[in-house]
Amino acid sequence: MYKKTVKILLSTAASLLVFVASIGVSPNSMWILYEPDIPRSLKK
Amino acid sequence: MIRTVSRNMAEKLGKQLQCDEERVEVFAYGLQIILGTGFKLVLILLISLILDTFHTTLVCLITYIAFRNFGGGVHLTTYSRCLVTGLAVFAVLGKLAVHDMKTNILSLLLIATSLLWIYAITKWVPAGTEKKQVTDRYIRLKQKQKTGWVLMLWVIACTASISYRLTQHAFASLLGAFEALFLISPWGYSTAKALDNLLDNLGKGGARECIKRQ
Repeated sequence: MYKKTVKILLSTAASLLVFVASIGVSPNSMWILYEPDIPRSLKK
Repeated sequence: MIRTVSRNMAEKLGKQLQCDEERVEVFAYGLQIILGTGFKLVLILLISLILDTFHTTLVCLITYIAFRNFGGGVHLTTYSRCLVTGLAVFAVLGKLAVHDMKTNILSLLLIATSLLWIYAITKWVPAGTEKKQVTDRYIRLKQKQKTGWVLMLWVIACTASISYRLTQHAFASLLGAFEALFLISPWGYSTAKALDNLLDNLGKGGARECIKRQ
């Protein structure tokens, strides 16, 4: 049960990070002042 | 530091979920954005609380983000530089906005800033950096339209604030819009470049990247 919950939470966190990353490469410049290097896989 | 922490966290997450290297890079990028932005926002608001300028700083920040989101603009080359500059700029603007301004002066400033923004939208928006440039004509046009909508809503909000004598909020919003405008203009790019050069020469921070105008 515990492992299953952790797995769900981690998957949700991963999805959120992918979502944020996709916003990061969009034309909008949402992130004030600093922009990190865009990963190669997202530049494709 | 943010980069290292993000990378470590992303690697742990990738290991747990058995993801490949490309996916871990995406996680690290997402984490850098969340941690970097969150840390900066919290610090800006914390300083504003200490300086007793929370409301004006918040209004200034919201206006700045609204314009910046669609209009783009210059970025400094390292996180620490951005953090310090961002904190200093918003602390000063928040403090400046506390001063009471006459409504007729605010109205004049509103007209002047709006006209400058119209010029900026036609000429510079979306202003990119070396890391991210919008070259597609259609997307550029869309960004100009979106920035135009932001400008229109902002003019309405500012006019209402001035009418209801919320002079501090109106002034804070004007300052936020002006800051965003400055950072998409060639002068903003020159200033950021000069700042990066100066810090490079002083040996503080990472290697300078050439920021090109579109």
